[in-house]
Amino acid sequence: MENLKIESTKYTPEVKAAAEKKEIKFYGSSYPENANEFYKPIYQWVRDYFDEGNDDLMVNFYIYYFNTSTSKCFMNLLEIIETYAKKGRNIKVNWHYSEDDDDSLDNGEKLFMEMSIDYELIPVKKI
Amino acid sequence: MHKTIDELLQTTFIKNIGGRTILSFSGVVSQDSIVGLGEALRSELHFAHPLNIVNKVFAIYVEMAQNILHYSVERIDSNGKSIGIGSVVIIATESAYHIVTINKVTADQRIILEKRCSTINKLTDDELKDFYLRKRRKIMESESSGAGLGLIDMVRRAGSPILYDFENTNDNHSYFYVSSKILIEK
Repeated sequence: MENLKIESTKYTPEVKAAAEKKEIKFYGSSYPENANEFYKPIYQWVRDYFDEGNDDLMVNFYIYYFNTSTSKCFMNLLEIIETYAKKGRNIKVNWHYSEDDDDSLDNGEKLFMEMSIDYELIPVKKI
Repeated sequence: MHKTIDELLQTTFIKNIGGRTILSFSGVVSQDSIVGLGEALRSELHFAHPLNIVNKVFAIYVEMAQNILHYSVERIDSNGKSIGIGSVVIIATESAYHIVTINKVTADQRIILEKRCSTINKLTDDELKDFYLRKRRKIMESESSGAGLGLIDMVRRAGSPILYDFENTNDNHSYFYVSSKILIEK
């Protein structure tokens, strides 16, 4: 299983997916002009990870801003996660938000609103 | 041709807002120009406001500018990409920031936008949230790009209705003027 590492740009987050750590992490902001193109390899990594027999995954989001087309991609990703969780995989999603920014909490909350996933909204000083 | 900044600043739509223009751009609204203008905007806001205000204004600006990039009917092709042309004007008043965008739309787009804007403006906060979730569910099912969520998100984040107007052009299209007002709590 290859690790996935995408460096951040001004408008896409750093993404680190490491099978040995059982973790995928997003860090930064996300407003690419074509969000689907950016997130496709990430969906694939998650599917491959579980299809190769891995059971546990920790998903950590540290995203201080994302546009609406990214929100669609995050929902896609969470739906994939939900599918595997329903098959018995042990997945935990942590959404970190800036404690001084209500929008950042609200936007995170909305992502999980209609999902049955084990998640936590975690306040942090500054992302 | 798209409107120049000089022309835009003379329009009733912008004059009615009043205040001082802190940033304006008229031309090809590429991802690069959105990022560049966005950085200038964040930097300017940082001097006067806490991060939550900076983020709010920035988020609405990006959504509106990317709408021009994706949906303006006036476009150019560059390196295999199609990029929308239009204008962004950011105005500061005593109590608020106004983000204004102007771009050309087709007659069909105008009908859809008129309906969508008037619907969204009538909704209460709770109704807006419901509408957002319903629309999102529809978009998730339809595999569409997410069009339509942006406007709802703008109103939800700004907490004020949008101002909008259309101006006929001689090529059967219209200019779509839209303004989002973000109140600053003092």
